[in-house]
Amino acid sequence: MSIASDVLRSSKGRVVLGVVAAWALFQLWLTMAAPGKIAPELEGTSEKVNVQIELPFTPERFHVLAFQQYGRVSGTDEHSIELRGVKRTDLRSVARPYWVTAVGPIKEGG
Amino acid sequence: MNLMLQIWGGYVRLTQRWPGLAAIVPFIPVLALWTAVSEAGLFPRAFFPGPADVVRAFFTLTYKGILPDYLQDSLIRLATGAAVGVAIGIPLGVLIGTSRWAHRICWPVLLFFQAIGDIAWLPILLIWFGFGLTTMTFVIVYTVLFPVVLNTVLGVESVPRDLSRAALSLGASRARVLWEVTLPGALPNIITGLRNGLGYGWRALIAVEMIVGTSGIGFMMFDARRAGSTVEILLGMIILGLLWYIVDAWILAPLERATGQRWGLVTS
Repeated sequence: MSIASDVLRSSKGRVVLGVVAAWALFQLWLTMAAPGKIAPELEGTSEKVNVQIELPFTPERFHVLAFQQYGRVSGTDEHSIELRGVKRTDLRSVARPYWVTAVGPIKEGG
Repeated sequence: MNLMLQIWGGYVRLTQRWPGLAAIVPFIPVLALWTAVSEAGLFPRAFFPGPADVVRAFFTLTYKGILPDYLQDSLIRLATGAAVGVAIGIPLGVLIGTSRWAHRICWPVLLFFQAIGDIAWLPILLIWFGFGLTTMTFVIVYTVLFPVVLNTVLGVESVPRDLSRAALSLGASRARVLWEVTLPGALPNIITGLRNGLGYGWRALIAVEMIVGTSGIGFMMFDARRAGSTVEILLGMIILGLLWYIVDAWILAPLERATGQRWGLVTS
Protein backbone atom coordinates (compact mmCIF):
# COMPACT_ATOMS: atom_id res chain seq x y z
CA MET A 1 0.00 0.00 0.00
CA SER A 2 1.54 3.31 -1.04
CA ILE A 3 1.48 6.56 0.96
CA ALA A 4 -0.77 8.06 -1.75
CA SER A 5 -3.47 5.43 -1.21
CA ASP A 6 -3.10 5.83 2.59
CA VAL A 7 -3.75 9.56 2.16
CA LEU A 8 -6.82 8.89 0.00
CA ARG A 9 -8.19 6.42 2.56
CA SER A 10 -7.86 8.78 5.55
CA SER A 11 -10.57 11.40 6.14
CA LYS A 12 -7.97 14.06 7.08
CA GLY A 13 -6.10 13.38 3.87
CA ARG A 14 -9.30 13.75 1.86
CA VAL A 15 -10.11 17.03 3.62
CA VAL A 16 -6.61 18.40 2.88
CA LEU A 17 -6.86 17.29 -0.77
CA GLY A 18 -10.36 18.78 -0.98
CA VAL A 19 -9.13 22.13 0.33
CA VAL A 20 -6.21 22.11 -2.12
CA ALA A 21 -8.59 21.25 -5.00
CA ALA A 22 -11.04 23.99 -3.94
CA TRP A 23 -8.19 26.50 -3.79
CA ALA A 24 -6.97 25.47 -7.26
CA LEU A 25 -10.51 25.78 -8.69
CA PHE A 26 -10.92 29.20 -7.10
CA GLN A 27 -7.62 30.36 -8.65
CA LEU A 28 -8.79 29.05 -12.03
CA TRP A 29 -12.10 30.91 -11.67
CA LEU A 30 -10.25 34.14 -10.77
CA THR A 31 -8.12 33.81 -13.90
CA MET A 32 -11.18 33.17 -16.07
CA ALA A 33 -13.26 35.95 -14.52
CA ALA A 34 -10.56 38.64 -14.78
CA PRO A 35 -11.10 39.62 -18.47
CA GLY A 36 -14.82 40.14 -17.78
CA LYS A 37 -14.02 42.87 -15.21
CA ILE A 38 -12.06 44.98 -17.72
CA ALA A 39 -14.16 47.69 -19.42
CA PRO A 40 -14.31 47.56 -23.27
CA GLU A 41 -13.32 51.28 -23.33
CA LEU A 42 -9.82 50.23 -22.33
CA GLU A 43 -9.26 48.45 -25.65
CA GLY A 44 -6.67 50.15 -27.83
CA THR A 45 -3.16 49.92 -29.17
CA SER A 46 -1.16 52.11 -26.77
CA GLU A 47 1.37 50.25 -24.68
CA LYS A 48 0.21 51.74 -21.36
CA VAL A 49 -3.16 52.82 -20.03
CA ASN A 50 -4.58 54.75 -17.03
CA VAL A 51 -7.21 52.84 -15.11
CA GLN A 52 -9.67 53.24 -12.28
CA ILE A 53 -10.01 50.11 -10.17
CA GLU A 54 -13.34 49.68 -8.43
CA LEU A 55 -13.49 47.94 -5.04
CA PRO A 56 -16.51 47.09 -2.88
CA PHE A 57 -14.90 48.87 0.12
CA THR A 58 -12.64 51.81 0.96
CA PRO A 59 -9.10 50.99 -0.17
CA GLU A 60 -6.46 50.53 2.51
CA ARG A 61 -2.68 50.68 2.42
CA PHE A 62 -2.55 46.99 1.47
CA HIS A 63 -4.56 47.61 -1.71
CA VAL A 64 -2.49 50.65 -2.70
CA LEU A 65 0.73 48.67 -2.19
CA ALA A 66 -0.69 45.71 -4.13
CA PHE A 67 -1.31 47.89 -7.23
CA GLN A 68 1.95 49.82 -7.01
CA GLN A 69 3.75 46.92 -8.69
CA TYR A 70 1.68 47.53 -11.86
CA GLY A 71 1.79 51.32 -12.09
CA ARG A 72 1.65 54.65 -10.29
CA VAL A 73 -1.17 55.13 -7.80
CA SER A 74 -2.33 58.71 -8.29
CA GLY A 75 -5.26 58.76 -5.93
CA THR A 76 -7.99 56.91 -4.10
CA ASP A 77 -11.58 57.68 -3.27
CA GLU A 78 -14.27 55.89 -1.31
CA HIS A 79 -14.47 52.81 -3.51
CA SER A 80 -11.73 53.08 -6.14
CA ILE A 81 -8.04 53.51 -6.84
CA GLU A 82 -6.56 55.45 -9.77
CA LEU A 83 -3.62 53.68 -11.32
CA ARG A 84 -1.59 55.29 -14.10
CA GLY A 85 0.89 53.85 -16.58
CA VAL A 86 -0.37 50.25 -16.43
CA LYS A 87 0.95 47.98 -19.19
CA ARG A 88 -1.87 46.44 -21.23
CA THR A 89 -0.35 43.03 -20.56
CA ASP A 90 -0.81 43.61 -16.82
CA LEU A 91 -4.50 44.53 -17.02
CA ARG A 92 -5.67 40.96 -16.35
CA SER A 93 -3.38 40.73 -13.31
CA VAL A 94 -4.83 44.00 -12.01
CA ALA A 95 -8.38 42.67 -12.46
CA ARG A 96 -7.62 39.20 -11.06
CA PRO A 97 -8.07 39.65 -7.25
CA TYR A 98 -11.56 38.68 -6.08
CA TRP A 99 -11.89 42.01 -4.28
CA VAL A 100 -11.64 43.94 -7.57
CA THR A 101 -15.13 44.45 -9.03
CA ALA A 102 -14.26 46.39 -12.21
CA VAL A 103 -11.38 48.01 -14.07
CA GLY A 104 -12.25 50.96 -16.29
CA PRO A 105 -10.84 54.19 -17.66
CA ILE A 106 -10.16 57.02 -15.21
CA LYS A 107 -13.18 59.26 -14.78
CA GLU A 108 -11.48 62.64 -15.29
CA GLY A 109 -12.77 65.29 -12.93
CA GLY A 110 -14.82 62.66 -11.11
CA MET B 1 -21.64 11.32 40.10
CA ASN B 2 -24.06 9.44 37.87
CA LEU B 3 -24.57 12.56 35.74
CA MET B 4 -20.81 13.01 35.34
CA LEU B 5 -20.49 9.41 34.18
CA GLN B 6 -23.30 9.91 31.68
CA ILE B 7 -21.64 13.07 30.32
CA TRP B 8 -18.31 11.28 30.08
CA GLY B 9 -19.93 8.31 28.34
CA GLY B 10 -21.60 10.64 25.87
CA TYR B 11 -18.29 12.40 25.19
CA VAL B 12 -16.49 9.08 24.60
CA ARG B 13 -19.22 7.87 22.20
CA LEU B 14 -19.20 11.19 20.38
CA THR B 15 -15.41 11.30 19.93
CA GLN B 16 -15.37 7.68 18.81
CA ARG B 17 -17.88 8.52 16.11
CA TRP B 18 -16.20 11.82 15.13
CA PRO B 19 -12.53 11.67 16.25
CA GLY B 20 -11.97 15.26 15.05
CA LEU B 21 -14.13 16.47 17.96
CA ALA B 22 -11.49 15.29 20.46
CA ALA B 23 -9.19 18.02 19.18
CA ILE B 24 -11.84 20.75 19.46
CA VAL B 25 -13.30 19.92 22.89
CA PRO B 26 -10.20 21.00 24.95
CA PHE B 27 -10.54 24.49 23.45
CA ILE B 28 -14.12 24.93 24.69
CA PRO B 29 -13.13 25.90 28.29
CA VAL B 30 -10.48 28.27 26.91
CA LEU B 31 -13.05 29.93 24.64
CA ALA B 32 -15.63 30.07 27.46
CA LEU B 33 -13.12 31.73 29.83
CA TRP B 34 -12.04 34.18 27.12
CA THR B 35 -15.67 35.10 26.37
CA ALA B 36 -16.52 35.45 30.05
CA VAL B 37 -13.54 37.74 30.76
CA SER B 38 -14.16 39.93 27.70
CA GLU B 39 -17.92 40.15 28.34
CA ALA B 40 -17.39 40.99 32.01
CA GLY B 41 -15.69 44.19 30.89
CA LEU B 42 -12.70 43.72 33.20
CA PHE B 43 -10.52 45.27 30.50
CA PRO B 44 -11.37 47.85 27.80
CA ARG B 45 -12.65 46.15 24.62
CA ALA B 46 -9.89 47.78 22.57
CA PHE B 47 -7.24 46.00 24.66
CA PHE B 48 -9.04 42.70 25.19
CA PRO B 49 -11.50 41.88 22.40
CA GLY B 50 -13.72 38.80 22.61
CA PRO B 51 -13.87 35.77 20.29
CA ALA B 52 -16.78 37.30 18.33
CA ASP B 53 -14.64 40.39 17.53
CA VAL B 54 -11.84 38.14 16.27
CA VAL B 55 -14.28 36.17 14.07
CA ARG B 56 -15.61 39.48 12.67
CA ALA B 57 -12.03 40.64 11.96
CA PHE B 58 -11.38 37.32 10.17
CA PHE B 59 -14.32 37.87 7.81
CA THR B 60 -13.51 41.57 7.26
CA LEU B 61 -9.84 40.90 6.44
CA THR B 62 -10.81 38.00 4.17
CA TYR B 63 -13.42 40.13 2.41
CA LYS B 64 -10.80 42.81 1.78
CA GLY B 65 -8.33 40.23 0.49
CA ILE B 66 -5.71 41.09 3.09
CA LEU B 67 -5.70 37.87 5.12
CA PRO B 68 -5.62 35.36 2.21
CA ASP B 69 -2.84 37.32 0.52
CA TYR B 70 -0.68 37.53 3.65
CA LEU B 71 -1.34 33.89 4.50
CA GLN B 72 -0.36 32.83 1.00
CA ASP B 73 2.87 34.88 1.22
CA SER B 74 3.80 33.29 4.55
CA LEU B 75 3.06 29.76 3.33
CA ILE B 76 5.01 30.23 0.09
CA ARG B 77 8.00 31.58 2.03
CA LEU B 78 7.88 28.64 4.44
CA ALA B 79 7.51 26.10 1.62
CA THR B 80 10.40 27.65 -0.36
CA GLY B 81 12.68 27.86 2.68
CA ALA B 82 11.77 24.35 3.81
CA ALA B 83 12.33 22.90 0.32
CA VAL B 84 15.79 24.47 0.08
CA GLY B 85 16.60 23.49 3.68
CA VAL B 86 15.59 19.88 3.07
CA ALA B 87 17.41 19.75 -0.30
CA ILE B 88 20.64 20.81 1.45
CA GLY B 89 20.04 19.16 4.82
CA ILE B 90 19.29 15.56 3.85
CA PRO B 91 22.30 15.04 1.51
CA LEU B 92 24.56 16.81 4.01
CA GLY B 93 23.23 14.67 6.85
CA VAL B 94 23.70 11.48 4.82
CA LEU B 95 27.26 12.56 3.94
CA ILE B 96 28.15 13.31 7.56
CA GLY B 97 26.50 10.12 8.74
CA THR B 98 28.22 7.84 6.23
CA SER B 99 31.69 9.38 5.93
CA ARG B 100 34.04 9.59 8.89
CA TRP B 101 36.06 12.34 7.18
CA ALA B 102 32.98 14.43 6.47
CA HIS B 103 31.92 13.94 10.09
CA ARG B 104 35.30 15.17 11.38
CA ILE B 105 35.25 18.24 9.14
CA CYS B 106 31.59 19.22 9.30
CA TRP B 107 30.51 18.33 12.82
CA PRO B 108 32.39 21.13 14.71
CA VAL B 109 31.29 23.67 12.08
CA LEU B 110 27.71 22.45 12.36
CA LEU B 111 27.70 22.74 16.16
CA PHE B 112 29.33 26.20 15.96
CA PHE B 113 26.67 27.57 13.63
CA GLN B 114 23.85 25.82 15.48
CA ALA B 115 24.70 27.98 18.48
CA ILE B 116 24.22 31.15 16.43
CA GLY B 117 20.48 31.63 16.43
CA ASP B 118 18.61 32.52 13.25
CA ILE B 119 17.67 35.98 14.51
CA ALA B 120 21.34 36.68 15.34
CA TRP B 121 21.98 36.60 11.58
CA LEU B 122 19.47 39.34 10.85
CA PRO B 123 21.70 42.42 11.35
CA ILE B 124 24.29 41.20 8.86
CA LEU B 125 21.66 39.80 6.47
CA LEU B 126 19.95 43.19 6.37
CA ILE B 127 23.26 44.80 5.38
CA TRP B 128 23.93 42.15 2.72
CA PHE B 129 20.47 41.61 1.22
CA GLY B 130 18.30 44.40 2.60
CA PHE B 131 14.64 44.14 3.62
CA GLY B 132 13.51 41.49 1.19
CA LEU B 133 12.70 37.94 0.30
CA THR B 134 16.35 36.81 0.24
CA THR B 135 16.81 37.71 3.90
CA MET B 136 13.63 35.90 4.90
CA THR B 137 14.45 32.81 2.84
CA PHE B 138 17.97 32.67 4.28
CA VAL B 139 16.65 32.72 7.85
CA ILE B 140 14.08 29.98 7.17
CA VAL B 141 16.61 27.77 5.36
CA TYR B 142 19.07 28.28 8.21
CA THR B 143 16.43 27.39 10.81
CA VAL B 144 15.16 24.30 8.98
CA LEU B 145 18.64 23.05 8.14
CA PHE B 146 19.95 22.09 11.58
CA PRO B 147 17.13 19.82 12.80
CA VAL B 148 17.09 18.10 9.38
CA VAL B 149 20.88 17.57 9.27
CA LEU B 150 21.20 16.44 12.89
CA ASN B 151 18.25 14.03 12.69
CA THR B 152 19.46 12.64 9.35
CA VAL B 153 22.90 11.99 10.86
CA LEU B 154 21.22 10.30 13.83
CA GLY B 155 19.05 8.23 11.49
CA VAL B 156 21.95 7.14 9.29
CA GLU B 157 24.05 6.22 12.33
CA SER B 158 21.19 4.26 13.88
CA VAL B 159 20.93 1.86 10.92
CA PRO B 160 22.81 -1.30 12.05
CA ARG B 161 26.14 -1.70 10.23
CA ASP B 162 25.40 -5.40 9.83
CA LEU B 163 22.61 -4.61 7.37
CA SER B 164 24.98 -2.65 5.12
CA ARG B 165 27.66 -5.33 5.43
CA ALA B 166 25.11 -8.05 4.59
CA ALA B 167 23.95 -6.15 1.51
CA LEU B 168 27.56 -5.53 0.42
CA SER B 169 28.46 -9.19 0.87
CA LEU B 170 25.47 -10.11 -1.32
CA GLY B 171 26.94 -8.01 -4.11
CA ALA B 172 25.07 -4.72 -3.73
CA SER B 173 26.92 -1.59 -4.82
CA ARG B 174 27.51 1.23 -2.31
CA ALA B 175 24.93 3.38 -4.09
CA ARG B 176 22.35 0.58 -3.82
CA VAL B 177 23.13 0.08 -0.11
CA LEU B 178 22.62 3.81 0.40
CA TRP B 179 19.33 3.81 -1.53
CA GLU B 180 17.84 0.55 -0.26
CA VAL B 181 19.27 0.15 3.24
CA THR B 182 20.61 3.39 4.71
CA LEU B 183 18.00 5.88 3.49
CA PRO B 184 14.90 3.75 4.31
CA GLY B 185 16.39 3.00 7.75
CA ALA B 186 17.06 6.68 8.40
CA LEU B 187 13.73 7.89 7.01
CA PRO B 188 11.77 7.94 10.31
CA ASN B 189 14.48 10.19 11.81
CA ILE B 190 14.58 12.33 8.67
CA ILE B 191 10.81 12.89 8.90
CA THR B 192 11.17 13.73 12.61
CA GLY B 193 13.84 16.29 11.67
CA LEU B 194 11.60 17.70 8.98
CA ARG B 195 8.72 18.00 11.43
CA ASN B 196 10.89 19.82 13.99
CA GLY B 197 12.58 21.94 11.32
CA LEU B 198 9.29 23.10 9.83
CA GLY B 199 8.01 23.98 13.31
CA TYR B 200 11.09 26.08 14.07
CA GLY B 201 10.99 27.53 10.54
CA TRP B 202 7.36 28.62 10.99
CA ARG B 203 8.24 30.49 14.20
CA ALA B 204 11.35 32.04 12.63
CA LEU B 205 9.31 33.16 9.62
CA ILE B 206 6.85 35.06 11.81
CA ALA B 207 9.70 36.73 13.71
CA VAL B 208 11.44 37.71 10.46
CA GLU B 209 8.23 39.00 8.89
CA MET B 210 7.76 41.22 11.93
CA ILE B 211 11.21 42.72 11.49
CA VAL B 212 11.86 42.79 7.74
CA GLY B 213 8.56 41.85 6.08
CA THR B 214 6.21 43.96 4.02
CA SER B 215 3.60 41.19 3.92
CA GLY B 216 2.77 37.94 5.69
CA ILE B 217 1.00 37.00 8.91
CA GLY B 218 3.91 38.23 11.06
CA PHE B 219 3.84 41.57 9.26
CA MET B 220 0.06 41.79 9.69
CA MET B 221 0.39 41.30 13.45
CA PHE B 222 3.22 43.80 13.80
CA ASP B 223 1.47 46.32 11.56
CA ALA B 224 -1.68 45.95 13.67
CA ARG B 225 0.39 47.08 16.67
CA ARG B 226 1.01 50.37 14.83
CA ALA B 227 -2.72 50.85 14.38
CA GLY B 228 -3.44 49.62 17.92
CA SER B 229 -5.63 46.84 16.53
CA THR B 230 -5.48 44.16 19.23
CA VAL B 231 -8.09 42.11 17.43
CA GLU B 232 -5.84 41.65 14.37
CA ILE B 233 -2.93 40.60 16.60
CA LEU B 234 -5.13 38.00 18.30
CA LEU B 235 -6.43 36.82 14.93
CA GLY B 236 -2.84 36.40 13.70
CA MET B 237 -1.95 34.37 16.80
CA ILE B 238 -4.98 32.10 16.38
CA ILE B 239 -4.22 31.56 12.68
CA LEU B 240 -0.60 30.67 13.49
CA GLY B 241 -1.65 28.09 16.07
CA LEU B 242 -4.48 26.67 13.99
CA LEU B 243 -2.48 26.41 10.80
CA TRP B 244 0.46 24.77 12.51
CA TYR B 245 -1.88 22.34 14.27
CA ILE B 246 -3.39 21.33 10.92
CA VAL B 247 0.00 21.00 9.19
CA ASP B 248 1.56 19.06 12.05
CA ALA B 249 -1.35 16.85 13.15
CA TRP B 250 -2.86 16.26 9.72
CA ILE B 251 0.20 16.04 7.46
CA LEU B 252 3.53 15.70 9.28
CA ALA B 253 2.54 13.41 12.18
CA PRO B 254 0.75 10.86 9.92
CA LEU B 255 3.74 10.99 7.55
CA GLU B 256 6.06 10.33 10.48
CA ARG B 257 3.89 7.42 11.65
CA ALA B 258 3.61 6.02 8.12
CA THR B 259 7.37 6.06 7.54
CA GLY B 260 8.03 4.65 11.03
CA GLN B 261 5.64 1.77 10.44
CA ARG B 262 6.91 1.14 6.93
CA TRP B 263 10.65 1.41 7.34
CA GLY B 264 11.28 1.75 11.06
CA LEU B 265 11.34 -2.02 11.47
CA VAL B 266 14.47 -2.22 9.30
CA THR B 267 16.50 -1.81 12.47
CA SER B 268 14.80 -4.64 14.41
